[in-house]
Amino acid sequence: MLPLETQMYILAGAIGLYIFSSLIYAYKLATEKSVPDMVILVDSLTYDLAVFIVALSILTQNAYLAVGALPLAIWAYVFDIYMSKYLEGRELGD
Amino acid sequence: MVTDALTLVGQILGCLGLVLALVGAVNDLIAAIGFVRFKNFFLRLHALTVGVIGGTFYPLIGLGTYALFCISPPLGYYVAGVSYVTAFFVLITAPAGSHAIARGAHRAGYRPEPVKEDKLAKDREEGVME
Repeated sequence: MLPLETQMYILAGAIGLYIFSSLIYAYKLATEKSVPDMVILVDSLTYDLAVFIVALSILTQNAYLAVGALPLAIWAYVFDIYMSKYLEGRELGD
Repeated sequence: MVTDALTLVGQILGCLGLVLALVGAVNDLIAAIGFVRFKNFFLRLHALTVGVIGGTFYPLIGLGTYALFCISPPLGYYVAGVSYVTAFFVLITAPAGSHAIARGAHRAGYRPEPVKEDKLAKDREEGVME
């Protein structure tokens, strides 16, 4: 259908948009003072990074890069749970 | 004949996956703007949902589909598998994580503003829930 070069341009465009979004998240993270807001910003950055890694692995034709996406997605969840317990003044397992 | 048709369908699906990835990137940008524009944590949770489902889940499905149909087998299958599994975990864990952090924030004293009625706070005051 689409020429390979066009496909790679679309993929590179998507990666560029992800980088731009990540910069906005990072700026907001640097200027934010509320802890729950910082937590969801870190979540968003993590999910961005997961998609970015998969897109980059396709762009560079390197399969080993893609494996990093799964631990990142799970790490975001663990971080959410830990921080919610912290905000409630409890520890994990309480 | 059948092989040609299957190849064509695969290429169409691959291109649709690529479009899904691009639309997801735009969604993620919208979510980032939402984070800047919204004024408090509970409003920003909406932006987070757009970023997670629109900006992460759909692009991962799209990239997986693209890898499955448009990249040569060993690499394509590998990337598609990782993408689909990651998308599945994001779909399962992100709502639970958002709920947990919203609950924690509410218990820590963060309140939505403006608010007409905070039934969760009311229930807690009345002892209906812990």
